[in-house]
Formats: sequence, structure tokens, C-alpha cells
Amino acid sequence: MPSNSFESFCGRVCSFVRFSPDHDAITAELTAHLEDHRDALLELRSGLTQEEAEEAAVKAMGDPEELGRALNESHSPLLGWFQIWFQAVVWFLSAIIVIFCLFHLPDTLENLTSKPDSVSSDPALYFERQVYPDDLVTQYEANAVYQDPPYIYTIEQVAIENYSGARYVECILQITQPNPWLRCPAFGYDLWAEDDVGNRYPSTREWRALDETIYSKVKVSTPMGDFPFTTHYCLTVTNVDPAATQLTFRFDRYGEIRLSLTVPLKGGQADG
Amino acid sequence: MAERPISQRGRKWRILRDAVILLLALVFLTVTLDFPIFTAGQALRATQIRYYWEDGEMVAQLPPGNIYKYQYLLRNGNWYAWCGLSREGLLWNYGSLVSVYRDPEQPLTAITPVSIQTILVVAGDPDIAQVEVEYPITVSLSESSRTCQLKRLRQDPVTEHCFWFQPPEESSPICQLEDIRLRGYAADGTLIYQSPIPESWAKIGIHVTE
Repeated sequence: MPSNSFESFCGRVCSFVRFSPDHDAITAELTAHLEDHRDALLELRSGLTQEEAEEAAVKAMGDPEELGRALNESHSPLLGWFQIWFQAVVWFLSAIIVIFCLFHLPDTLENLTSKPDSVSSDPALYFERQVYPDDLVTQYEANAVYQDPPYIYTIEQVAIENYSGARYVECILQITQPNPWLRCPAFGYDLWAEDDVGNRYPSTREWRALDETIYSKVKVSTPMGDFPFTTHYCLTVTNVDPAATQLTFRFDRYGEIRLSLTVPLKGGQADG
Repeated sequence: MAERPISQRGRKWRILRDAVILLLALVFLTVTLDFPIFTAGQALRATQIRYYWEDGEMVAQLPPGNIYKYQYLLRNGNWYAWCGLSREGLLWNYGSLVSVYRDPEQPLTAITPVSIQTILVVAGDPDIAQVEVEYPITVSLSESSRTCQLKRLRQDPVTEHCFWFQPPEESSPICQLEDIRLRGYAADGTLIYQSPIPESWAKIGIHVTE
């Protein structure tokens, strides 16, 4: 237990330290020093009384005002209060955020890792679910890739369908981007296509401006899922020439080609 | 053991540690909230990239609309675009962008960016100093009939070659872009160009003779 003279000395020192939250720690440290000094004096000089040793220890510490002012310099109230309040606010906010995040963790993990339900983990399954088996002529992998930073466009699967004698081509287009704020690029209205026998399949915008009796066109679905790093679209080209063996999708509304993907076509006249 | 007072350096380290904790917490929050958009500038930039309009420069900020509180006019060469941004509380939604080409061969070209609530007209003819849009509005509607009348709005350009119309809510057009008639006037008020009378007007009982 600290003696009265120690308490009095520490109190005088602390009266010069403006940052009060540190007073207890300063008092504790000074008291420990004083006690160590007192005990050392009592050991060295056997004739000293407890009070005399304490008085000598206090005296050895020097002027309390000078010591207090020196400590005040190293205990800035501005930095000290800021650190205390900043820590309180940060820990409180962080606790709330962690609870909120943990509550939504399953949804977050699914959002970061999943593909749209309609595409599932395998785009091939999309066609199995969406297309009548009698209409599906063939389905195959294409692996057509086009890069236009920040987007990477990939057609992984192609399905050739036959509706009342008309050849339809459906592709699952996957677009990946490293920046989650750039998901769902908006090219769908202006994506057109051409085949290797000279036919042009207009974009939805061009088709609307044309005679609506023209049945060939490129249609891009709304995004099949809204995920941070990946967007899927279904591209459909109607009334594709049976003689065509490959189809190239293009987006060049503003002059420069920003998307160009060529996929082979199977199940046409060339394949018998 | 007595607690040692924290040194200045110790406090700075604690502030740094807490700043890192705060940053990590905000990153987790951002991921959990599915990467929300925090500022209008970020929303505008993201919209431009998503619509392949990275090189477009903002030439005018338009008055706030009913759906999009922040509307901008962008330009890239002879292409013009309307870009609309909307807020959701403190955060921003993904914006919309609709573009139009200023064809020097076409005296006037129009688009209706927000469905039928707004009309953007670009003038290919450099002599056009004012543009007027004329469109039908419904004045009375019953189960058996609908009565329409024509409404006109005339504007000066918001920026070079660009005219922006935001009809008041009570007189919003009931029609599609094809139902709007455009007129272009010279600086002295002379009519330079007017588009043909839309065929659809006759179907809703509006007959105009010239």
C-alpha cells in the first residue's frame, strides 16, 4: 500500500499532467519506483526508519512540478483522447459489422462463389433444363474467348436448336471482371452477328428499326444472375442459315470493336 | 504488476491498429452488402464503363428528374449520351445511359432516355438554335373513350447542338418516340425543319392539317 508521502508526491506530479486517464498509470509507475528506491535504502542503511527512507526516495525523484511538466509533454491530451475515442468507436462499429456480416455469411459466400441457378455449375445443364429435347439438334463446347479490359468474354457452350425447321443458335456468354462495380456490361441491345456465308443477323436495336417481318436477329437475355465478378447472358440467334459453319458475334456501336467472338456451328448442312 | 502509462508511440500504434480493424470491417461490410456504390462520381464512372462510354466527357448536368435525381449529358465526338443516376438512402444505384449519334445529315434526332418521361434532341443542322417537341397527352379517359390533345414544349440548347425536355408530370407524353413531332428553329425564330406528322396521332383522334 502506498504511503501518504508517495501519494502526495504522485498527486503533485499528476496535477501537471493534463491527460487525466493516464494519471492512474503514472501514479502506479511512480509508486513502484519510489517503493523500489525505499526498499533499497532500507537494505543499504539499516539505521533508517521507514518514513526517512520514503522521504529520501521522494527527494531523489526531484521536483514534482518539473517531473509533472515533463510527463505532460509525453502524454498529449489531444492524441490520448483521440486514441481512446477512436478505439471505442472502431471496436463498437466493428462488433456491429461483424455480427451483421456473420448473420449474412451464407448469402455472401454464395454470392461470391455461385453461378446463377439457371446456369448452375455447368452451363451445359442450362440447355438441358431450358430446351425441349426434341428441339435440341446438338450441344457442344466452344471455348471462344475475347478480352477487352476490364472484361473477359467467354462462350463455353453452344446449343443448336430446330424450331419448325428454323435453325436457332443459343450460347451461354460468361463475362468476368475483376472490379465488382462493373458487373453487367450493357451491350445487349447492340450485339449483332454474321456467319461465314455472308449473312448478317441484326442487333435488337437494328431489328426494331427494320421491317419487323425480318425474323433473323440477335437477342441477348437480361443478366442471368447478378454476381460481383461474373455475369452470364444467354445469346440467341434466330433463323441462322443452315449452310453456315461459324458465327461471329460483334459489338461495335461506337466504331471500335469491343466484343468479337466466333463460335463453330454444328448440326447444319455441312454436317449432313 | 502496475500498468505502465502508454507512450505517444504506443498510442500511435494503437490508432494504426484500430484503423486497420476499421478498414477490414468496412471491407467485410462492403462484400456483405454486395459492393454498393458510395458516391455519385463512382456511379457515373461505373456507368460509363459498363456502357462502353469511358471516353465520354460530361458536358452538362441536367435538372433532376422524377426517377433519376442526377442526370448528366455526356459527349464523345459526335455521340451524345444521357446518363441518369439514382440514390438509395446513402448509397447509389447503378446508372442508366442512352446514347444518340448526331448525324449531320439529319436535322434533328431524338431519344427518350427514361421511357417517356424525358426527351433528348440533338441537332445535326448547326443553324437550329431552338427545338420544339409536340406530343399527345391524355386529357380525359373513360372506359369507352380517351380524349387526347397536343402539347408543345420549346427549348434553347443545354449545350451545343443538344436540347433537353423534361415535360411536367401532369403533361408527360403518353406516346412513344415515334409519336413525337420535332421542329427546329433558327435564332431569329424561323422554322428550319419539322418532322412529318406521326401516323399514330390519327389513331388517337388527333387530326392535324397544315
